[in-house]
Amino acid sequence: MAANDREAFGEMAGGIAHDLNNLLTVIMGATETLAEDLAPGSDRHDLAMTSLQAAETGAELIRRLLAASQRQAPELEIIDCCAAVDAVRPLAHRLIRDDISLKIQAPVHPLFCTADPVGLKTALLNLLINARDATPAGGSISLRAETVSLHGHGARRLSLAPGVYVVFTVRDTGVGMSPETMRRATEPFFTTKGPVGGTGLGLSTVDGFARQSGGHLAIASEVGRGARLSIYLPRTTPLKPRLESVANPTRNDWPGGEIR
Amino acid sequence: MTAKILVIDDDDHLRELVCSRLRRQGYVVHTAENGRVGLRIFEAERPDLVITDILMPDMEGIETILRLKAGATPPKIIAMSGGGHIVGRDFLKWASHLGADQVLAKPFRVSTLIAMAGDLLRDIDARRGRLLGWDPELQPMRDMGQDLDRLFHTHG
Repeated sequence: MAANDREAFGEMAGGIAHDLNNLLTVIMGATETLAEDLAPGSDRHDLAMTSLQAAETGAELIRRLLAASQRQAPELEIIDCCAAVDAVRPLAHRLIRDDISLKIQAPVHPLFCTADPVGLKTALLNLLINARDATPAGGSISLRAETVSLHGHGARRLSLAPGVYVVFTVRDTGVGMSPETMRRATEPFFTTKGPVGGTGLGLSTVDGFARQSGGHLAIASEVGRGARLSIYLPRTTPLKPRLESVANPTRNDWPGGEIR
Repeated sequence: MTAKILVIDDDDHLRELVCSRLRRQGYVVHTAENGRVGLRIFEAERPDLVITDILMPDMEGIETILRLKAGATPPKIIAMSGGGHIVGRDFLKWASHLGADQVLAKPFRVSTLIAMAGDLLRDIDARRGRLLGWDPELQPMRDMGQDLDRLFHTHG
């Protein structure tokens, strides 16, 4: 998506969100009032509650839409990426079906980056859910966190400054993507999951999160050969826990001196 | 004494809904469609609590909050915002810095708003009660005393 298109989309999303939030407040309030008048446990009460939850899902969608359009300033914090991976572990095992083997790996020592912790968790879960949906016949999915050092061509290819990055990679052995699908994967509302399958906001949210954190989302895939999606985030050194350090991370500033 | 609430929002449906839910709770509720009308009603009715939207045509919520808080007897204030702009969230922060007692991002459950209103108005009741020599914190002990009296009179 071109930068000016993204900006126009953000403009539109911001304008509509305000009115939609008003509308949802009314729907939620009216439904909640109905539910209060109905006997808990009755079919009608359940219907009202389903309606309320649907409205709340709508509210969540608006929040994601705004995040995807990059108009919502993220809450940046220095976070331990390994702990973040550990935090999604239980949920990931619940999300992934039994016919898929799931492997999650993160280094034992902490890896720090500066990002919105909720955004990171959402991004990792989005990648895992996409991998699951792309693996309908069973197979394997892995999530791995590690550090890489980018120089010259490697950095330019990802439009990133040379430096040390924490990389979260989700691989699957699923159906893969065509070059056309890959090209459009991060467009808001683009989905291959059909009208009831997805919102088309998953990868666009992940892409938005990576950019907001000064990083990049890289996609590699071939039809029938699975996919590899990697979120690159600039590594932060805990010795200088300031935002400036994100811009110029150096290889030797890790306290233990060990970078893989 | 029944607490008075003023609801200011340019969205008719939202105003009606919030208003009817608050009336159900037994509050006396006035409504206004913008800050200008809201301030006029405030002067006439002196509500204990003002619930105001932030992004409105005519007079916006931020200015409304400033004027309400500048008065001699400022009310409790809950600010609401539907966000939607990059500053949308900041508006709620500003509202809070400028004196809103609570802030609420739309969409919210009306029960959350009612609970917030109840909390703020309880503070007012408690203060009023102390002025009148009645302390709500002592009420449970009085009730217990009355229970003991009844017991004493029944079985004594």
